[in-house]
Amino acid sequence: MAESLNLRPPEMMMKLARLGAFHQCRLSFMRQLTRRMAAEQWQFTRPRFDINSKGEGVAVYTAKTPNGCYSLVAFAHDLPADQRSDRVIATAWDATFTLFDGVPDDADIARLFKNVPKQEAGRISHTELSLSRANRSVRLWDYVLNKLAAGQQPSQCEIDKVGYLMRTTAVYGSGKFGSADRQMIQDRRELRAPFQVEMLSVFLTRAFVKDLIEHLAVEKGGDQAVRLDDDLAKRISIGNSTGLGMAPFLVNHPALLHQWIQAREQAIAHVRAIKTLQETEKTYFLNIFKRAQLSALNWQTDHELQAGKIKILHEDIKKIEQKLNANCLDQQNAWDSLIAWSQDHLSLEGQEWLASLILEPYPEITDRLQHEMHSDHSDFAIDGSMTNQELMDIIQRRFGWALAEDWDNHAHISRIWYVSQEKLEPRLGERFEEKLDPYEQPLGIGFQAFNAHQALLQRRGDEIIADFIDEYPQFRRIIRRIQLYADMAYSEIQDNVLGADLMPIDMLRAKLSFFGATRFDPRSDRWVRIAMFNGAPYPDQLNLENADDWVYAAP
Amino acid sequence: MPPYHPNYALNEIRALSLKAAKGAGLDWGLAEDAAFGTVFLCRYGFDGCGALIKLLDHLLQYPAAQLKPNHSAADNQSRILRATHGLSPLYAGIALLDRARQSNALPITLSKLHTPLFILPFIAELSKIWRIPLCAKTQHGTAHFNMAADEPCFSFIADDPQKWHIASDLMIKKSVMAVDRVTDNIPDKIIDKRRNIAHRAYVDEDIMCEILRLAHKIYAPATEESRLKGAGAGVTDHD
Repeated sequence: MAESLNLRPPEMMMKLARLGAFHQCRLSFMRQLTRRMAAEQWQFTRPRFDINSKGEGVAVYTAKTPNGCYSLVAFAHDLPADQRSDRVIATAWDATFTLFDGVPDDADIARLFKNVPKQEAGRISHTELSLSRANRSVRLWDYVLNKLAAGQQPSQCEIDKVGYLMRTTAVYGSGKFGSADRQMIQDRRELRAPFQVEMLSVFLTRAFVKDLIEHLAVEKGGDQAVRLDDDLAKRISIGNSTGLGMAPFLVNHPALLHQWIQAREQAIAHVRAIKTLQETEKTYFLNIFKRAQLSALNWQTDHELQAGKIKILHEDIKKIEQKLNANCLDQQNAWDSLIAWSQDHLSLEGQEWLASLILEPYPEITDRLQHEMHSDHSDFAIDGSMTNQELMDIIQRRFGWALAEDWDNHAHISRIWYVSQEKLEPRLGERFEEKLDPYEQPLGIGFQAFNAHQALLQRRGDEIIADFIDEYPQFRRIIRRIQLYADMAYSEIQDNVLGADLMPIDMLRAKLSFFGATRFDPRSDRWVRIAMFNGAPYPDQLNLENADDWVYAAP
Repeated sequence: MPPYHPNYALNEIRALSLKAAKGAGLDWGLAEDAAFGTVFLCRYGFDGCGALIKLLDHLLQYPAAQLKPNHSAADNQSRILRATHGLSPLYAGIALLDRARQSNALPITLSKLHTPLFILPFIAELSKIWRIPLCAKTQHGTAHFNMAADEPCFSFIADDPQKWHIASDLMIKKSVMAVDRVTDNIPDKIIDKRRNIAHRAYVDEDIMCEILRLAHKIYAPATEESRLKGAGAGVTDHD
């Protein structure tokens, strides 16, 4: 399929600036989950809600699927304000969670109560699929609580300014802190796509947060308290603060990165190949376009750089609107022309916004590609029979950008990735100012490929790689990587992650866009706030009509 | 240092064994091979972490050149791998795998192989690459592999897997038994048969302490500078 399609090339797609401009689309993991839950008619119950007037206690939310049950176990805490921090290095939270495989009994709850509130310092087991925590929004929580307790609805404007009542700071899975390995659950149909455990956990967390604030409003306001209006509630997401901990993921999971980007690029290429648009497709697109435009107008940030990009995005959207008003969709090959035009006339933010949006009228083209977004890649051995020349050919084909980089320039290697003893979290230091070399994490793939290539140039081309590695064992890792992913076009970021001008938030944005996150709000060059499930229905409201396009503002 | 727990997810074992091997001084690439071996053994219910610690101890005792296979011309003919101070299963394993496509001549003898248990993952991988059933035989028993089968299969026939931690000669041959039938006619005293896949690794406390100690070496000491700059703090997070 891929061979006959005109995919946007990796040299274009895998630049950090473009990865940092990605937007959610039909393939995003949140939307995959809500579509599946609605299609399979998952049943949601709340078998337990024992929360006291101070907001302390436990609640359980169970999702019943055609194949079994998953339960979010939520522990609510009364956290003193001075301990509230959305940094990953915090040690106490307003609420802590785990997604339990099945329905927990009292003994499970008792065990989890001893561990889940401690997060990284606790221990979960193979029956738990995720571990996460959330804090209340200082800006919004008390305001909404007081309004509801007084029998009033909060203002939409205040809600939109923040967008969430609670924000998570980490959602761990895949064996972390003792949870079940992905290999244990990846054959389950509903968990086959990436990050479905984590997305389900957040979806149920959002329901818990709404229940919690309504419960506390009644505790505070008694009979006069009211429930949150449904339309307002939909505008409330789960916030998330994501920092450097997520950045190495893209480098450390090349096969997965390839699958994600290839699936989206294939979808885009299929849509671009459509010659004539049906009226229904045009109408659908124009409707979604208006709603997406509204969502873009609601996107707020204090981050100067991002605010500038959003301003340009608004201008880009106006340019697209002018094209649409000039009936560009009536032309032959309309999508292909529009995307080609966007590459010359719009910012990266605008180009990627449009590229995601043109997939919307085409579920039959796009949604089947969601089955291609996981990776079972398990090859491991180095092919030592490859010649030095063959390996150099691959490096020249795959790492041309790295071979052209001036690595003697200190500014190009001034950053160093390491893990700190303090929280065992990835950090970014200054190579020439701090003594961090012995602790370097090997994330500078381009630099390593360049160095291997330099060493290979000194050897005979017909010598085999097994002999080369015998002599240069320091290149063992990069050679394995180059060989294993040689045919995965989108597996490598084609940019320097060691340079002084690196913006780690670009790496975060790429991953978070595939989650389906919106409202990217960078807080520095290395951490970002986002919204999850903004606009989504709650579990008891989910149906086939609202399961997918909730991500765009209500018309 | 994190507290000890009796059982671990295999992904935790992968991450910890990679860090421990790197912390012990291996290059990242070789550390990946060590982690691969450790996880494979744990997946089949062996004491992979214990084997890793023995392996790393051995590597720390002697220069690498004295633990790598050095083969004479005569050895090459008969496929004998040996080393000055006991052959490291890690170096022997990668030598076999890196050159797997060069030659599949059998049998192969690994002379005075240290921690023979740790070579098994690499022979399993050989079975996958060559697409043939293999067996590895020492004086303490035999392991059979058919990893290229639709249902990969690994049988282990020995009275005590712990003896596979003791240095021994090991011979790799083509397995003449259908691996999934290996267990059919085994005498009762042979206790360890076909290996089932385990989803958790049970690790002794002393072993895990050592793994954590080695892994800790790859973490940079926390400084106020890294606390402030490294993670991107210094901006308000009140929201």
